[in-house]
Amino acid sequence: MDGELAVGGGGGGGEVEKEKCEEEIRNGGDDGGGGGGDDMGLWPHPSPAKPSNIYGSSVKVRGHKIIFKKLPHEVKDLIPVLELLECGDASDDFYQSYVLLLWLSIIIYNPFNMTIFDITTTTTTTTTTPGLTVIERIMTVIKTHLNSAQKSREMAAYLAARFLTRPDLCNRHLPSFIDNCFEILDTESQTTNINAIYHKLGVLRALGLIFKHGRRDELAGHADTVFVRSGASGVTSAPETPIRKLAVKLLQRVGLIFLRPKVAAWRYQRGNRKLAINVESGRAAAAAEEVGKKKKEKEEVEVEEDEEEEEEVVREVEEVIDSLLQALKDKDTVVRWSAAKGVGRVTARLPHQFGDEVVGAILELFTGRESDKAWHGGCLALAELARRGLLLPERLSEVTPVVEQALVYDELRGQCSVGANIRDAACYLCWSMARAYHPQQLAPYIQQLATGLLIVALFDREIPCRRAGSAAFQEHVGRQGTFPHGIEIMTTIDYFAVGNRTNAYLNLSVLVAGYPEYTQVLIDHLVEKKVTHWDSVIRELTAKALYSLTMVCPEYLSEKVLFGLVRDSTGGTLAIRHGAILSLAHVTHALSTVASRTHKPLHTFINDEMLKKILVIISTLEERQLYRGLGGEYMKQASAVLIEKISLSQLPIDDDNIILKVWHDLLEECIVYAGENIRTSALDALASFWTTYHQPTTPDKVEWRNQLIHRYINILHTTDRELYCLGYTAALGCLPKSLACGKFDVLLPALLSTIAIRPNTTAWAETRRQAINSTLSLVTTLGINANEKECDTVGKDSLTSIYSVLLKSLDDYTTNRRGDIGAWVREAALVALKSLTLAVLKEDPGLLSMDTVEEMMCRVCQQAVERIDRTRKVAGTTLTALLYSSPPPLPHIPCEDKLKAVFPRDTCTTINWASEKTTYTLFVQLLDQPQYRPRLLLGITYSTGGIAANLSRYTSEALHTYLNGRAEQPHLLQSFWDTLLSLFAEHQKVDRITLPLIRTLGDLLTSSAVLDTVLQDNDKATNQLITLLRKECIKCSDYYKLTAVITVLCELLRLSSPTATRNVFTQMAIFLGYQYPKVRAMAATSLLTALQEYSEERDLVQGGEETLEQINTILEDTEWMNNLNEARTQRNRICQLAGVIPPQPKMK
Amino acid sequence: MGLHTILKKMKQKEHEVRLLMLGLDNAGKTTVVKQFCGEDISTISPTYGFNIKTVEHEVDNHEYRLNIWDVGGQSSLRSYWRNYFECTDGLIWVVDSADVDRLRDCRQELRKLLEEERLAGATLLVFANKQDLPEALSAEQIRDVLELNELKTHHWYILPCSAVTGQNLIAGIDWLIRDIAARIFILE
Repeated sequence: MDGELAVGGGGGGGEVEKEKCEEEIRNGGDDGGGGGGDDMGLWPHPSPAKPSNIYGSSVKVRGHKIIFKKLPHEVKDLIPVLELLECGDASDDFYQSYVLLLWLSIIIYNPFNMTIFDITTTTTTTTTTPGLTVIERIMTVIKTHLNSAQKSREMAAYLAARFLTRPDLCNRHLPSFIDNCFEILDTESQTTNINAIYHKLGVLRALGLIFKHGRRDELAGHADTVFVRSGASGVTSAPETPIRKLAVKLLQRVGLIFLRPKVAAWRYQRGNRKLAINVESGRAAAAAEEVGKKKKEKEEVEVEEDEEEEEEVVREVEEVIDSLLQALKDKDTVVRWSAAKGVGRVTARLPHQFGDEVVGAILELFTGRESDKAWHGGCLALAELARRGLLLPERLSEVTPVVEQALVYDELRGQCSVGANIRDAACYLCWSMARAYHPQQLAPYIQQLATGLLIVALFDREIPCRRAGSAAFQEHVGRQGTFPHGIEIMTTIDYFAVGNRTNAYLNLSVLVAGYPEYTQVLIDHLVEKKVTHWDSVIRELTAKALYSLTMVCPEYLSEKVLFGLVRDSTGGTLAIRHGAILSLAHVTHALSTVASRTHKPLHTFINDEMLKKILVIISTLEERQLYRGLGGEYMKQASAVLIEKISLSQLPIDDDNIILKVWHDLLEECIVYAGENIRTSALDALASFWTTYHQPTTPDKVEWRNQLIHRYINILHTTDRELYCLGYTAALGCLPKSLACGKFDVLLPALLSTIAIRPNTTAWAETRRQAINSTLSLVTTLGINANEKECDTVGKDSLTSIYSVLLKSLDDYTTNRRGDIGAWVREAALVALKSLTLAVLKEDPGLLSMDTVEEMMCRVCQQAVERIDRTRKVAGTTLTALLYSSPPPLPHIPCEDKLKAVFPRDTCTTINWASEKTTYTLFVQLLDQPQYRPRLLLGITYSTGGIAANLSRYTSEALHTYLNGRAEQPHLLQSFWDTLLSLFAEHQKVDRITLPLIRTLGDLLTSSAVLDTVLQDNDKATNQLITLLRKECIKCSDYYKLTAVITVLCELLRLSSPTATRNVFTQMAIFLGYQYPKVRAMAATSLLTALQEYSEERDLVQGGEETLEQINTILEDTEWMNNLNEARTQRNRICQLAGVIPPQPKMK
Repeated sequence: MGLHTILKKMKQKEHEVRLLMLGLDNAGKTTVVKQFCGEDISTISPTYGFNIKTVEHEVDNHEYRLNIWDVGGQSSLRSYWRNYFECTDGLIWVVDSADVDRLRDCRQELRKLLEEERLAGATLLVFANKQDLPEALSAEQIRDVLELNELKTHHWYILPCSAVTGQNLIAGIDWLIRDIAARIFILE
């Protein structure tokens, strides 16, 4: 639709432009040609290039056949156009020659005598090759452009066809042209020049078009020659696809020349309908009669034509058809498609018997021996025949089985699969059949067609095929109306619904299977084709789909399918085993669910023998060593699913310890595997496996449980591989209540110690996250109860230690090459804090101490103002949950009223917590509260001083707004400053915190004067800061940090008293003589700027203007980057001038 | 060269137009379609689901192939509006001119339909059907009730007609095809 509208825009404009263009081209032509040689120098003026471009674009959009008719066709334009073509350099404009050739083709289409020109024009045209006739000149133009590498080649071929098929030229010029063409084909085949291919393409196209446009009787004499010579030139087997395609086109047209043009009388017709006739006849209220008459007429026609069928079919036609059938197997789609259309056209002119033989020959393409290409070509050809009514209803019995096979053609060839195009073409065939036949004719094949199309629409791997299947199904329902439950199914599997493969497999299939006609065929298809499909995703989807389909018809699965699945589970290839095990797992689970729902014993669906076989599958695979190598990954994953489903089905194992041990070992092997999907499958399996088969009901089992937990905990403590620690931590989280009960006092410390950062596990952030999740899930499993024993449920002491560890883990800022991986831990901790707190509140709010809540709230707020969007979002959600936990509310929230005022319930639910634009302005308001201030400032400075431009912009804006709003409340500003400094002192030398903090300080001091009140003449504050900065710079080699420090120091010159100023100078002196040249230069520039700017307000240096001038000169003139000793000498001069003692290099 | 491309080419080449026939139940949609197809109209029962019919029609020396989708008045429509391969070019909205009581319903249904984005750009032809009945309202009256004059989003046209006698059916289709052709078969 869009495309068409776009065409509309272009075309609409084109109509208006058209007149202008024609005018312009004409003018260009007149100037160039009519005016004679002298004007040639002025050419192009006006240039025909622009209108050519417009025409070229129109041709591109609407095709040359339509533009062709729109061009003016007056004989007087012939000479100018021809001359433009002759003089224009073919390469100067892409469209020009193309459009001119097109124009010439319509001009020469006029019925006039070509030779007339030669008399009238020879006198006027003196410049262009005198002595040649117009005909010869046109032929030259054609031949030149047929050799072009541009698109004008195609138009030259078109012109050739139009020109040479003129009645007055046909006899004289055509034979020599054809001869010439084949000479070119023969000679050019010898060379490998790239232009040779273009030339061959040009002449082949010209020949093809001549045979398309020419009159049959005139061409009949040449057909033989062309047929023989084209065969001899070997174009049908050329390596270049376009050449083969054009060769196939030429062949089919030659074939058509041999045959009398007629509509095959024997073709199948489903009534010829003309709307106007129908309505008119209806008005005459004689519809019935009319139809009868028409029928009679038609019969008469048929009889007439039947008589004609004596006609002989010449040998050449047979050969043409043979070549076309060969081309159906070509390796390129375009050639096959062209051949298919050719087969359709030629067959339409054949007598009945022969035409039907063609159908037979096509049907022979569909054998196992033929390649997938042949199948595709065959489907296309059959569809073409069906559309033309040449596939007679009698053949449907042979065509339908072929269609059924083609609809599910899917094979793996090496790394890629083939068949999607065949399935699509088969849908096209079905679609054509829906249009071609009367419902009665198709009635016997309805079931096959309907299920075939349903299978494609529901279960095809590719989205275009599913949609094609759905469209063909719709066509049948709408035109035939005979598909069982067609309309209901149509609305279920419409174009949009089948777009999503998972939806088609898991939801739509169940809906369709609800109609009994389709249930079994759908299941059969899945079992035969999809369970062992080459794509593992399809195998998994199939297994899940079979689960739902088993629910629809359990008996069928249990009787017909189960056996095969069990057999294939230990079968030959990886795909078969993997698919069969997965499907078996899901079917078993479904059968047991059905059994328990219907209160039938399980063995009605799975008999004992089958059961035994299912249970030994894993042992068998283990014995055959199929869990090793790359394929082993698939087997492990599938086996884990099998164990999980068997456990969920609670199949009786009779305490067979060997099986249980094999399974348990396998799962333990899987939980420490590198592939995440294998781990997850194994963990899921482990949970249900323990629940079903390892209940500690006997002393033996209790002992087994104790040893298991002991062993796992031991691994946590001793292993030096992260995967092991990760896997076993996760496994502990999966423990069911019965197993964890009584052991919580051991489990908890083990998990908590995993959450803590230990020296040799610093990088194990993923494990720590898992440990947090496992702890949380154990707490959920066991429940919180302060009155029971600590080993059975979560009591007050456990809670205290969990909270303290969780809060501590919010300080996890582990980084590796992937960045801040500690964020995983912090986010997990935030979520855990939320869930845990809500659970505790439900049980007993008294279990929460005031200190814990206070720290939790502050830390959550801190996380909500830090750098990572995702983390802020999690923190924001947690904050909302804690603030508005309902009921009971969380006690001891510090400054609850203020908090709720800043974050009303509505805001909390609507705000985007990840957006730095909105959240920071809210959080800064909490800076007034002494409880929140330190944590918040820690977070905010971390964001402000970060390198993300947007984040630091919004945070610093929020900070400035906050400070400006407190300008009248010096005590708040004072506390703000004190807190900043104490944070600085606390985290001295912790780069992650101090660098952003110094940057924030610099930002606050440079761009706002609000903190000046705190610092003005407050030597203590300034000196404290300078001391901190100095300590921070000891042995520091971080250029960015030093820059930040220098910025702050220079800013202090603006504020401080003489003593502090001296301290600043002392510190700056160190930087001026720093070992890194860049730092020296930076320090010099900053100091110079500061001195110039701030010396007006007060005397920065004793000795007044003159000294200052000297210092400035030194700063300006010294090459700080060059020599360290030179720099230090100059630095010492400055120190003397400023009256500070120059720093002495340490004696080594 | 998938089914999608084939159908797209075929549509251009064979001048295929997809028309959707809609309206309240008992408006006479199926009768109109049967008239087009020259089928017997003496026995017609309510359409359940839909029918696709193909007829050829010549307008201004161009042969067009009309794929008419006759969708039952009661059935859920969404699946028929569009599939990937063919989009709706024209809408024929059939009104029972004699059923004065339900004209308000009719207006609402039509308005809802025209808001559907998958029908954006489609040409609308309204048949004020059953003009052969004495109590039928005129096309002008129907136009006012349906508030067609306020319709700015679609090209529209209303004609009095009778599916039983065949009055004006061809005139309506001719207008519809011309309007569609001007849009999708440009420069022809």
